[in-house]
Amino acid sequence: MAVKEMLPERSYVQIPGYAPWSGEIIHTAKEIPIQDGGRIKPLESYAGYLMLGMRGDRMIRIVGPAGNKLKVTPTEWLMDVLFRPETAAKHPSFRIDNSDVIELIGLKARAKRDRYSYEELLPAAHSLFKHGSEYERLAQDGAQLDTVQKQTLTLARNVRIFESLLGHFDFARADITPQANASDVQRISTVMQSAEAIQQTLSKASTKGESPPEDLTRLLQQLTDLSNSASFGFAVLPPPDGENQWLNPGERIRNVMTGSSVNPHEAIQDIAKLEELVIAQTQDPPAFATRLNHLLKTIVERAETRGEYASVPLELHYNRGQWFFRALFFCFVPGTLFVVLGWISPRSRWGRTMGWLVWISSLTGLVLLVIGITQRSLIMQRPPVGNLYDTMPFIAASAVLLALIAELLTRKRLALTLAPLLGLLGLVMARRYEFGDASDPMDPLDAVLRSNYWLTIHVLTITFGYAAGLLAAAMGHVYIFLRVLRLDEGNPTLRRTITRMTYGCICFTLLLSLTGTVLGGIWANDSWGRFWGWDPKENGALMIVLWSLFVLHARKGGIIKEWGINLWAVFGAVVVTFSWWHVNLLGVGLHSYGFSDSKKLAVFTFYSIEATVLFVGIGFMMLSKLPSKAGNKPA
Amino acid sequence: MKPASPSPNRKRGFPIRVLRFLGGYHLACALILLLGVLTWLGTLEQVELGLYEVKRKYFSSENVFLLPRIRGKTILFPLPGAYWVGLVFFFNLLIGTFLHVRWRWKSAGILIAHFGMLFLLLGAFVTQHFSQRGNMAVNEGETSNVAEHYHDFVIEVTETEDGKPSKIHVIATDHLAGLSPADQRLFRMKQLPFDLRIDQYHTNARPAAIEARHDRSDRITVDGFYLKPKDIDKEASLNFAGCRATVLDKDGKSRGQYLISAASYHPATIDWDGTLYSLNIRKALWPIPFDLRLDKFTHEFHPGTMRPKRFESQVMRLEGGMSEPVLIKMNEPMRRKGYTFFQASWGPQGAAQGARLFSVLEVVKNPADKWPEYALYITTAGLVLQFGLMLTGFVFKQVRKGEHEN
Repeated sequence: MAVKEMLPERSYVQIPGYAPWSGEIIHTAKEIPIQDGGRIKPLESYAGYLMLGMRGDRMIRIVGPAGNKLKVTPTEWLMDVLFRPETAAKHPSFRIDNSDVIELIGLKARAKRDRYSYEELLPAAHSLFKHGSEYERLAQDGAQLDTVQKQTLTLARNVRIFESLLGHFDFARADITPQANASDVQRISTVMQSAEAIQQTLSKASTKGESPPEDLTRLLQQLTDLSNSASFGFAVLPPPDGENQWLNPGERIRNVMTGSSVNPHEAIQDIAKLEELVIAQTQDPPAFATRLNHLLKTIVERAETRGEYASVPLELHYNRGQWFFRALFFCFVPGTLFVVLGWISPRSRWGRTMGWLVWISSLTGLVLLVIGITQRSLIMQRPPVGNLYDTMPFIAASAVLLALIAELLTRKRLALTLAPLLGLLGLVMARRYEFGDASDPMDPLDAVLRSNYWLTIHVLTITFGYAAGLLAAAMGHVYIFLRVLRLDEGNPTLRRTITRMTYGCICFTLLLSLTGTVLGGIWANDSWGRFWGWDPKENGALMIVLWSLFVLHARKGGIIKEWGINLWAVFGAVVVTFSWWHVNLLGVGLHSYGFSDSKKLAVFTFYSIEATVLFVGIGFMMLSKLPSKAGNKPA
Repeated sequence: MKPASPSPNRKRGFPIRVLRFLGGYHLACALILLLGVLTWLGTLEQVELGLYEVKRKYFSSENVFLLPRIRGKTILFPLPGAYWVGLVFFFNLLIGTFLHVRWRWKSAGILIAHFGMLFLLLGAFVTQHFSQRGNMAVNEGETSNVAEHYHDFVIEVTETEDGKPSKIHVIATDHLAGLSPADQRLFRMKQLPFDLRIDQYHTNARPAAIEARHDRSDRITVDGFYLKPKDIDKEASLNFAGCRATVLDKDGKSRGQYLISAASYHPATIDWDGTLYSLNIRKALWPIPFDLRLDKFTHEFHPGTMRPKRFESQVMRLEGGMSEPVLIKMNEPMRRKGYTFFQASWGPQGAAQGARLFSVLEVVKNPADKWPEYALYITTAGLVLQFGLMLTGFVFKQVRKGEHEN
């Protein structure tokens, strides 16, 4: 179910007369650097998260004019939105998970969960925005919205964004009529050339205490409307020297017209280029590709001059590499399958072959993960873990690495069985989170987190500690399953080996968690003026330390033995989950990220599963400690 | 067959047995479990109570026992306060280190790690009892040498001479502790010609004017005003205390009543035989042994967003006729004479470009400021040594086993 939700919609939609973009145009469009979310990124990345946020996936399957099947990628979809609004309105761009939302705004729902186009939602737009505003107000007042209200609010926001982007290049499509009854129409870039004269006229009128001429008022109104419609979304124009923020066309128009542009000549040229591009799309399609390419070159050149381009080609490479996707579907999924197949006859040549395949797939998956994590790190110019999303591939890679090292040390094919499984679980979680959150996880960090030194030594240590704790928990699961299903065939050496591995992982967890927690305290002492503040995230880390300390001391004091160590290890998964995920959904403290109900449900489902495993384990332990009928010693 | 000899424990005297229990693994495990449960409950309860109240309830020395609350319901199962559990744990660790850990090279890692942890716990104790926290808000171009406590209130009586404050008498926070609206407390002020009786003390209240239509007879009013109680805010620094102060002559006769509130900028004025005194309740101030002048405050957002990228204060430290420029920014505080200054906040939020800004610096005085760092080095060294020895032993054993099997 979890995997199914992450896959693109399989069904095809009919969009009569849909003309696909040429490969050349899409290739160029993908590479255009833009500024969004506080960083420079390729248009492809922006389009991907925008589409994910609205549609819930990154692919639209449509039937072309000749009955041929086409796949529309995020960049193609965004190009439709920006340059072919009529076509974009037909794309099923909005995923609605609950048909009650559709009925609430007065439309007829098709299925419980479906995707709708802008064209389909338009008749109910007024109702949608009315409800959206109401729920926005309720949320601001601190009210708890129910699921339908939340989804309606999200839909209203998405439709607003979509509408804004549909009108992004309206300034280039529209003609300005300076005089009420005249047939004389002008491009906005032409009007911008008269900015100084317009300012003088306005100034004169103001000095005399008169109203500006009627024609000028009408002209200014048209300019305001068009620049407003081009002021939303990403910024595509690198600013002149001395300015920090990239500009969108609306801001450029406004800056020229108000006389606040540092380089009005360049601004007018930029707007003229965009006009030519938009006009070419409708009137001269062959010239469109050339003009788009020219625009790309101009932006790249300016971005390079500003020293802001270096990460863009790398990000394009990262996007193309799809390292985590490949590691998941081409390595860890087959790896897990090989583990299962190996169980058919573990000691035969078949079993050994499967073992080697698990090694190969796990190692390959690990390499792909390391490539992906390293590339992300280079793009973001910071250590690999800075937000919650980052933790998932990192923990998956760490857990796989630790499992493979443990296998190298023990050579029992026990830790090896866990390697692809941990990789698979970590990456499924990462994809679920990415799809659910639908926001760019590479956006820059807040001021307090901008310390590569602390991100490296504290965050990586603590995250590595999570991975070690989870591996210990996985070993505990292996012990319980082997004992409960009697797969260990009563072999005490095997049981001892697993317990030793579990214990070793717990020791490693203690080392990393304790060091990481105290390092976090030292960082907090440098940022917030206190070593320890009982913040939920700090408490979560402390709980992992206390959990591992308990196991070490209880074992040393003879309070727990084989069963106890493994059961506590399983409980460790609950403690790590509490620290890693649960504290974030409490909505309090300095590390709160804001969580949806679905993530809360996932966390509690995990707790329930672990409680069941513990319950079964404890039950079986008690049974196995009872003297058998034959009077043998308990197992 | 030999008769069974008594167990070694039985042979030992009572004090030794008590000592072994106090430093024993069973007690250690029970304490670790308790600390884990208290930390867990203290985390969950923050949703309802807020951090400050939870810290007081679970982790301060105020409560020897406490009753946890889950989803608004009190659980009638008393648990010991984490401070006291931590204290017992400290002694358990100390005694256990000497009694249970063998003093030999093989255990060197454990011994070092234990001493690191003892030092860490000692640091926590010193911080809890001897550290001070507050903030200093200073405008660009202005100088300050006082820090304001986040949530401790004091009552100040200020003598004035020629319209200027000449002497300040303070009723300290400790003396106001435990006051509720129903209590009254008399403060005999030796250096003043009058005494003060405080009652109607609210942790969070605002002064409000009596409105005829909504007048209630049970309200205690002074000069047409009353203190309107407010719910205690989870964010403790947002609470504003208020109370009624009755000025008494030395015979105990009332000479006037005043409502004073930390939410008001205007102190009450007492005219005592021609000498003017101002009476005020406010957050406690503490002096800093040098002056800080804010020369420039810089803030930057990530382009196109409202996400803060950096904020920093360029200050001039003025001390004994000397001046030294210092840059205080996120993660890079200024440390001087036992005080540490952190970049905490700024304002006014949303100020126009070029507007005069102020910077808020968190001020901390903590004698154990660096102890956790030293404890970390010690503990980590111990753990690395111990687990390194364990791992090496395990690997050698595996290699030998492999050779033997071959």
